[in-house]
Amino acid sequence: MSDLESGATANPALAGEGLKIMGEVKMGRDGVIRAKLKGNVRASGKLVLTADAEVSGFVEGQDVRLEGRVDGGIVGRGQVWLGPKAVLRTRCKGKALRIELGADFKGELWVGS
Amino acid sequence: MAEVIAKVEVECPECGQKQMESENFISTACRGCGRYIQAIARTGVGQGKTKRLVVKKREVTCADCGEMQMVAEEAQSSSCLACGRHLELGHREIVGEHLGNLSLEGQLTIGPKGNFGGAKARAAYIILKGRSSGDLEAADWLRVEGKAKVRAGATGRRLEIKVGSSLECSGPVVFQEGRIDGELRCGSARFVGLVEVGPKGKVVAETMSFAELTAESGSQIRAQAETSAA
Repeated sequence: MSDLESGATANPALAGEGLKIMGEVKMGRDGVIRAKLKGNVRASGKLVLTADAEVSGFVEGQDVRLEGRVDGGIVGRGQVWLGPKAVLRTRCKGKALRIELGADFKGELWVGS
Repeated sequence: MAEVIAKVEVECPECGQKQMESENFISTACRGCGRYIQAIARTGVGQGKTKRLVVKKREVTCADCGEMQMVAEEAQSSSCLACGRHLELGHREIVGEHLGNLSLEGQLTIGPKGNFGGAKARAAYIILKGRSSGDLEAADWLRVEGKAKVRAGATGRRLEIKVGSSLECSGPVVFQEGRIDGELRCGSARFVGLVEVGPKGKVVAETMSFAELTAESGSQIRAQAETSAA
């Protein structure tokens, strides 16, 4: 999980700090989200949700690192990483998973295919 | 093995009675007249370097009160210095049916055809290859090395399930930490600290809680889960 661990993605799409978005967000490449979103997020690449990010819907991506809050669950096609201040509800699905000490998760846990 | 201290002959200066004493004795009483004899009064005995009996010791923690104490490495039983509880220090292997409770500070092995039929078994270390009808409590670790079934609960500091092994537990599974390389099936699994699920590990639980989780690629987990403060 080296990329996820560092929070680095190459040429990421950005949904910026202080921004509020209503509706579904689709990303065709790696992305970093710092905004508050009322809706779902779908990314075809890696996705990093920073400590400022709040998503009321679900998040789907290849590899997902969460430092902020997601209420609708995360579905990762690869690895999912929850940082020490992450808050996740509803569901966490991935092929590999790391939940760090301090992360707050409650919901369905599904690891593997 | 403990070193055996040599004996020396001591003669009473009062009545001439001869008796054997430990080489490093400091004082004794004459068995003939009862006179008090000090080692320093004898020539060449007790004035040299004192030999101490060398007994290797190990650490034991009382299961009841948690008091730590040192006991001889070869001791098979002892008493807790704090609460007086009898401590069974040896190891035990169950190869067939065992009825009755067990509490030992050593290692308990339940063999592939073994069945612990008591209400509760407690040991510092438990190797589980067979079955248990009662609760298992491992003060240190519980290691699963076969197709194991527990009809009650399992608790302890660390749970290890080896590759190719499985643990089916009807009662709650409560440990400080865990390493799952085999399969764990239970109603409730609670890990106070970190649980690691290896690439061949599988956890199927109705509810699961932990402070920290690492599930490697290839592992499988199906559970309603939540994190808890360590």
